[in-house]
Amino acid sequence: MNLTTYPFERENNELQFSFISINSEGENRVIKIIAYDIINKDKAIYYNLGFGDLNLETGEVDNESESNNGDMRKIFSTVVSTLPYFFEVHPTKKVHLDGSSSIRKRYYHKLVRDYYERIKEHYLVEGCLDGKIELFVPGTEYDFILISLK
Amino acid sequence: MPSIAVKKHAGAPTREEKEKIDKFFLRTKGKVVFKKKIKKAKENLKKAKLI
Repeated sequence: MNLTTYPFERENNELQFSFISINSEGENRVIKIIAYDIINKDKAIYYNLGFGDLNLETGEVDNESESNNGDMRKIFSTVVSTLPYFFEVHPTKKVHLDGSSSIRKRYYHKLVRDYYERIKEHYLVEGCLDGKIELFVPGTEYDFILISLK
Repeated sequence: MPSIAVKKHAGAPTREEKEKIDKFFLRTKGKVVFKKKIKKAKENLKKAKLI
C-alpha cells in the first residue's frame, strides 16, 4: 500500500506517534499526535486510533481542531500508516476508527474505500451500521470501522 | 505481517518541536491520550453489543 504520508516518529516503542503537518508553502507547522488508546480495560480487545493537534500553549492535544493546511488526505494516510506498528504489538486485537466530526469520518471511509482492494489483502475491515457489524462494503457510510489482522 | 511502503517527505520536527513532543509524551506516559474519543468509542461498542 503506497501512501503519501508525513514522516512520523514513534515514541519509545509505545503505540504513540508524532509528525509535523505543513501547508503547501512549507509553513504553518502543526504538531500532530497519534495514539492507540485501550477502550475497555476489562475486555482489552479494542483500541481506539486517535489523532489531534498538540497545542503548544496548553500542552494538550485537541482532536477537533482544524489546521487548514490543505493536507487532510496526507494526514489521514499518515495516521493509518501506523497500523502495522499496532498489529506488530497486538496481532489479535481490533482497532476502532471513528472520526471526531462527520468530515473526518468521511475521510476515513474514503481512504479505506480507495485502498480497500490492497487493505483487504492483510486486514479484516468491518463496519458498524445501525448497531450491526458487517464486512466493510466500499461506499457505505458506517457509524464506525473496526480493523483487525486477517 | 503486512508492510507499508511509506514515501518520506520533509517535515522533521525542529529541536523546539521535539522538546514539546517529548514533554507531552512524558506527561501522558501510560495514560489515555484521547479521553473524549474513548467515551465515544465505548458508546459505539456498547451500541454494537461488542462490550
